[in-house]
Amino acid sequence: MTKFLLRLAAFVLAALVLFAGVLGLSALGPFSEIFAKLTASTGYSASASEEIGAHITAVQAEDGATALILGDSVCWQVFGPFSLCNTAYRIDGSNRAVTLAGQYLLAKAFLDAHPDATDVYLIITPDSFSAGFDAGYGYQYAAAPFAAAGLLGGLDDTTRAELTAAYGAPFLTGTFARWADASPLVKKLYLNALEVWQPAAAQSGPLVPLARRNLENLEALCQERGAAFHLLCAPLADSEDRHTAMASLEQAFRDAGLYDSYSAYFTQAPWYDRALFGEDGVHFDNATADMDFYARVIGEIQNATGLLDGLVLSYD
Amino acid sequence: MTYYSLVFPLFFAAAVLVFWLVPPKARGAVLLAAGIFYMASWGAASLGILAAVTLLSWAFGRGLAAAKTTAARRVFLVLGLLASAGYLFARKAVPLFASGAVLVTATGLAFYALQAAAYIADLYKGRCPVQKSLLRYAVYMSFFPRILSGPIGRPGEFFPQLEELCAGQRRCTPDRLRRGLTTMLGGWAEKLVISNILSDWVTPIFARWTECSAPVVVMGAAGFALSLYFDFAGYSHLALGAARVLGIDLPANFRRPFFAQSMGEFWQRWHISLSGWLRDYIYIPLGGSRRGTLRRMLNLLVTFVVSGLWHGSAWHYLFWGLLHALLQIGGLLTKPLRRPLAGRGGAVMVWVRRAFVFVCFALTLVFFGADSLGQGAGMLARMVSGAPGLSPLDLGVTGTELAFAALGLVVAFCLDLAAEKAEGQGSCLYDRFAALPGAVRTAALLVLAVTVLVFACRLIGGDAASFYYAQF
Repeated sequence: MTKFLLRLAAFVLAALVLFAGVLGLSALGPFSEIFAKLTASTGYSASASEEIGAHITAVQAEDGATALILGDSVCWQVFGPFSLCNTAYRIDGSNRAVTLAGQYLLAKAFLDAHPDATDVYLIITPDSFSAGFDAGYGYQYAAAPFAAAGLLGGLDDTTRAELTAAYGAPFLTGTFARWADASPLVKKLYLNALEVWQPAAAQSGPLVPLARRNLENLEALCQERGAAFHLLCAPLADSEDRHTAMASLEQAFRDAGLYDSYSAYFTQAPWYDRALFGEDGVHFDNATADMDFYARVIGEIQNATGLLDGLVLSYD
Repeated sequence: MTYYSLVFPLFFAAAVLVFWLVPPKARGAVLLAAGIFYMASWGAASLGILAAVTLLSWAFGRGLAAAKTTAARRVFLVLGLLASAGYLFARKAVPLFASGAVLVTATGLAFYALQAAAYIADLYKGRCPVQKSLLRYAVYMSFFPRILSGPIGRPGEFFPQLEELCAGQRRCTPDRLRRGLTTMLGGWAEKLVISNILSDWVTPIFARWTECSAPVVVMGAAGFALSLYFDFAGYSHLALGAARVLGIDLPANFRRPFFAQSMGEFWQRWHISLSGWLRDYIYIPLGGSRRGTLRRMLNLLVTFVVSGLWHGSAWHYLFWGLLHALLQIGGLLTKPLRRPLAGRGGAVMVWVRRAFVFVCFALTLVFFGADSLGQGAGMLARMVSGAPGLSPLDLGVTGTELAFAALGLVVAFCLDLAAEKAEGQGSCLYDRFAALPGAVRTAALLVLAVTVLVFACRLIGGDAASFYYAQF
């Protein structure tokens, strides 16, 4: 019986090793798609990494940009259409899942590549301040693309520790991030394991410690590099829930002693009629909003803040 | 907890380990504890109903055994049958007439209720001795490898094996474990590699049949028959394998049904434990074939309508049962005409007969898989309409997946063919497999194990396809 049990253990081990081989194969060329189909993993593509990876590549490009606009998806919706007609401004709004840690890394990568930079703008809605390292989009947007680019070392120790607690050190390496991007099957297994085991609960609240720390880090980084840092509020729908969210965030800023430094974020917040927004009440309705509308919105932000000087709002 | 949940392998390994390590006398208690734990994972209501059916049927069984007069025995028989299958009957029959009625769902009820009824009936007929030990009776009722979807147990086959296990007369041998685990691996492959992909493909056909082209609806019916077979046969093999590892040999629930050459033979090969139960406890007590052709036809009608009702509390299940009764009656009436043709035509006629059985089964199964009688009739009409519509690859399953399912079907067909041949020669497929060189066996099992692991990944991150028969 002992001999049989040893053989059984060896068989199980061999099967697991072969399965690991299949996982390796699933990242290679045509096998990636085949295994994705056979394992119903086609939904786990590398789109998030490609999206954020493009922003990382863009901010690292050594061009003539002297100012950087970062932000969430609302920022990208409004400012993104003008990204190609601006040379002095690098516009790289992404989304809230990037977290403030991701925004910090993008800013750092920009400042590293642009020693003469003068301004860094962070244009976000209150939602970004509540985004932590969750099991949903956090890994794909805030961790994997930066791990693949070898940028995670730029974070402070506490944020790195939180990242490790949330996603596990082996999965924050460039090798694993690139493997998971190449193999939807591997990404599926990892992300679903995260959902099941939840190694660390994501932070919650209107201003999570992760956001607060990285906001302060961003301010300090810009100061150190001689660039001005501007925190601006992205356009908000004039609705009860958005007012409630802003009020909660304002109170959190006051409690954290940050309000005086960033009061303009609250006093100059651009409010728009709810009817201009889509179903989610967060993004403008693309059916009615166009380039002219976004140029008008940016113009109003420029007038209210006296910032974003020289931003080109036309392709003429 | 199904055979696919991540915790099942851990639960099963722990149960097996404890079961074989404790003294033989304690093995019954271990099986009962495992059964209770397993059923508790399906909710308190399921566990409570199992406990109630177990306690009441055991108590009435004791009463029946102790009764001195025929009248008293009959009273206990009725009480015992009511306690065993009364709630099951209510759950199946009441919704037919009171559409708003909601009765508590009890996982596995359709299977263990029939086991309890079989015990009471066998006791009454003197075919099995009374089980004085509540613990052993509870093990019979709650034996976890089969509680979800059978095979439906019989007291005469289970209790002697349990006695041997508890007396230390059955031992854990490498051959027992090897056979059990290999059977389980085969069951997983049937379900994960073939049935789940076919099910992912067939489900949209049944849901969007009005948009599908006529050939796709035909393929949907054939695909559903195959998907259902590999789903249930896969579960049955898992149950058989798990039970074998625990020292209990359960009877086979399927014997290559699509190799049957008549509908009568089909029911001797498909869901054998239910067919056998219906034969022994419904058809034969009604008189079987002993009271003339007309009465025999009536008995067949009643038996198959009961079978339809057992499958579901909806008219389309009853109609499915009725169709099979009519096929049986048709077979009975045409028997004299077919008799001179028996054995003629060689292999070609054998396969023609097998194809005929498959077509009959697949067509009746349209009513089984449909949501209503109207849908079933509509699908059959669409099959012959020649209507254009969605093609096979418009239904969310890719050609790559279907190609793999087809490959699985070819492998399964070859294995079934080999098993059929081996059985005809008084052997079995496993014995043939065991006779292969060790390296070949290990390589084959490794390929199977890795294939199962890969296809198990389909279940992650989605609604894990459950066993079709678990709903009954």
